[in-house]
Amino acid sequence: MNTTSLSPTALALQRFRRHHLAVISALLLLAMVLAVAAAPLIEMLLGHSANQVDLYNRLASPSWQHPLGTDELGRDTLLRLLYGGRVSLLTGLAAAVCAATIGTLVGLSAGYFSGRTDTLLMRFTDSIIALPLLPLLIVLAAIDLTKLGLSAQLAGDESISLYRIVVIVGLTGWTTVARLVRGATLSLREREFVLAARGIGASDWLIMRRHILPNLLSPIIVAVTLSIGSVILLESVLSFLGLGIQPPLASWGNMLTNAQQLIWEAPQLAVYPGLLIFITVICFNFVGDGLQDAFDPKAEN
Amino acid sequence: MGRFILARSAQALLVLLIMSVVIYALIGLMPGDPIDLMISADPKMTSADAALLREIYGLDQPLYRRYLAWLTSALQGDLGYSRLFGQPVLDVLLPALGNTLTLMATAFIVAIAIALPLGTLAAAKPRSLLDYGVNFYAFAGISMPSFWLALLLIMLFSVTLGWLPAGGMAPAEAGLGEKLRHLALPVATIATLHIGAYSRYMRSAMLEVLRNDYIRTARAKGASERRVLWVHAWRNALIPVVTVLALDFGFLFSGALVTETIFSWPGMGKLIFDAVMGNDFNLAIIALLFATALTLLGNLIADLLYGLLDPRIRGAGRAQ
Amino acid sequence: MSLQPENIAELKQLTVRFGSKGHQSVTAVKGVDLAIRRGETLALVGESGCGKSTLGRVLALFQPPTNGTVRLGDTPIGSSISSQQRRQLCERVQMIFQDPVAALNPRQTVGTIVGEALELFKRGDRQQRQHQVIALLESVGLGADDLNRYPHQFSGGQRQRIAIARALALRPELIIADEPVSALDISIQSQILNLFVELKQQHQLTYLFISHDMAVVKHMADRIAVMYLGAIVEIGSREQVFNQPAHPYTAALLASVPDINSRKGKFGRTLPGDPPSPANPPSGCPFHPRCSYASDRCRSQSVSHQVLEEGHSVACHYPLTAPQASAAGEC
Repeated sequence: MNTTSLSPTALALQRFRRHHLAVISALLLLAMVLAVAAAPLIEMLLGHSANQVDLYNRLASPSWQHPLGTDELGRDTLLRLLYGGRVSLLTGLAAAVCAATIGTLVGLSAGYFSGRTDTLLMRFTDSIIALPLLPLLIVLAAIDLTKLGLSAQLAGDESISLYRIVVIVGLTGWTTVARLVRGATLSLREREFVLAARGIGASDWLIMRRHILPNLLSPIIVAVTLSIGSVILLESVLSFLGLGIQPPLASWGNMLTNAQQLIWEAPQLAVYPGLLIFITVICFNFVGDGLQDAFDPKAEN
Repeated sequence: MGRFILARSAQALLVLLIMSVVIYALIGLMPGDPIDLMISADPKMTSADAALLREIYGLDQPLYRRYLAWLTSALQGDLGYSRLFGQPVLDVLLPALGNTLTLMATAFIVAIAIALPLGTLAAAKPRSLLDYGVNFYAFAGISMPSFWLALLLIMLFSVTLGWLPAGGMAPAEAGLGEKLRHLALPVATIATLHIGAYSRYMRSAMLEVLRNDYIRTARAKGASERRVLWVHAWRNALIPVVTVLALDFGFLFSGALVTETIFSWPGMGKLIFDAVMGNDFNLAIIALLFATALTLLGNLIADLLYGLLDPRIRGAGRAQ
Repeated sequence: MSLQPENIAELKQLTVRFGSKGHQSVTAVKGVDLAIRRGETLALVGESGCGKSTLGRVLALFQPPTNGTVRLGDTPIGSSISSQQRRQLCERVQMIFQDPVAALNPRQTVGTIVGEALELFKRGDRQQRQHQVIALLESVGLGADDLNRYPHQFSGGQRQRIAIARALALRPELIIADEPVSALDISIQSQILNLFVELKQQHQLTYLFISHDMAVVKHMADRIAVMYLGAIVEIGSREQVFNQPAHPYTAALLASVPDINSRKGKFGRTLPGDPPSPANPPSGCPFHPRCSYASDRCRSQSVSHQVLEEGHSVACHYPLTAPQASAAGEC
């Protein structure tokens, strides 16, 4: 009597594969991840490092030695793009995970406890959404960390700038996840298996942890994928304005900071980093869209 | 309905108040304080002098006292003096606001003028190349970094072709042509990114409407396809579209900070950026609060429009 | 004021109202008196929206009563139950739900699902609990190999068996079965119903069996309570209700049962009209808009229960079977 139906995950994958754009985007992203992961390898192949300054060879055109030319300090553009990609992708991912955690906590609590908790949390979320995002991010990014008690040396450290960006962007990007998770929680809460758990005396925390959270995985994955795009954009804007990832640590955003000053001399420097940001973000958006359709409960029957 | 407005307004005011505390605290965390700047301007100042000055200006008080002092003078109309511009804050802020509104309003109008017909056409020919194009464009619009687009446009129109200036705003005395030349690229940047999303809204609203029976009636009565599309369907599709567009009102007011900065457009966004980067505390606080207030106002208007169009809220007079 | 010894649960004037007072509230259950006798199968029958599920949920501790008293065993249940109380009570009453697909957590294995209660109540160590789970699975017709499978690997009927096994884990006395076979294929329904009967004997269970279908309860029920718009309109033993239905509504429900040996005759037609909305109940006897025998009295005067004979009572101004009452009315 066993029906050999596919598991819900397999069914979702099947539906995902029908979205050609999403599949292509996913493959492109994979290629990009592999490329930036291989940065040290390519560095070795080319024979010079990404930060190697060569003032005699500024703004060179593409050559075998420098496949994409050099920047205003003679550094290899391709290598900088790859290493910058690592930073941008990593911060994007980290910030998205950060945002997802906060968003899940908020959305889960709001959806499960309902009533006043829900109203309070949702009003709070709506207020955050209603704020002008970029100006506030800029202020957050401009904070002098020594005033918060960090030592001057630590505050200036370039990896701190990374953590700071992750925290700032994560602190603002959680609202989409919160809304999605709340909606999913509201519908899950009424499902009979949750009632059954209550019927054996399970506590609220147990129910949330064991019954609701594991079933929230698909909406959370969709929400995270959809938010990575905006998170990457936010990081690149902040870095572009000089408030994000600090040089010499490269990110696609801060590679464009100088590009503006050099726009008359070397316009081509502006093209690549922005193009890569664009491609990454649009791919994440297509994949997220495809995932959303794939996991759609309406189709699951 | 009145209750609804009141409730929403009260909520907005509360958020604004809370934000004033947050912003005040955050600005306080920015590097340096006014006395440090004075010291750097006058190296002969001793630390004793500095301490005295701090006391005079009340900078040695705990944060909440300073905040309350600031709040009381602000509510009485004294918004402080901008260090960067050497003028009262309000004198700097209001013109900037005007410039931002000019920019955003123009961009909004341009975007709608292109997006609404585009969306309509896409709905008229579903699954056509145009339709897919519009969809792709929408995705591209939300994925593209605005500063990159700005740089590309500068590259093309200023550097290569030399047609348009790379930044700045035309002075007030300049002619309309000159003003438009300076407006062109920033408007293009902002509008381009939103056309995609707006046309998608229009497209879905149109598709909904076209499915309705009264459309079939109009067709059966012999109305041309053009008339059906542009007169009957349009009118009804516009309502949901307007409500969705209203959601963007908030963005209208907060401006496009990045675009203004790149194009050196002297608007609110650039002002905030300059103030924060230049450690101009008074200006930064007021400018940020202004931006917040305007965004909240924009959202409030959007909420009201929604409420007006939703008969449940309008008729019953109950909030939600 | 404690329970009569032969009753396992009692409802007195139970009222359940949703929404705030005023025109926005819906009264799902109106002043219901009901006693469930130990060891019986009491069927609760009615159309959707009549409040039977709500009543079941009150007994299963999922829905707090708005008014009235509820007793489970000797314990009164108030409008809020402490978690302490709930833990004690869930060893007494468990519920089986209508939709077997939604009733099982898709991310848990069958073993975990069935054994969760044992784990929470710390019934023995892990090995002992696993033995218990296997025993439970076997009692519903599944086996030890199913322990590590996931719900989606099973058919609807099998999933309902798993749900039953889960309900039995804590050895409850009372099982509230809310339309347990309505979502299953006809061919499977009888299997599950037989399982219910078997398990009742094995474990000395009492059932409150909720259904909209008279045919389903035909063989299982000892007593039948018919519910309409939040009130019980007729209650009696199976023989009494099936052979001598007193309420026109009961008769209409029976008319939809294929081969029943009842007085179909003039009642052999389907019920006109749609089920009324509980938010806007009719005046007088709530059934009057759909009753072929409605009179002015029915439209204006509300009804209370009259006892027709031992164990059989009805809420109708002009019952169809009225041994004591005179045959007044347009019968």
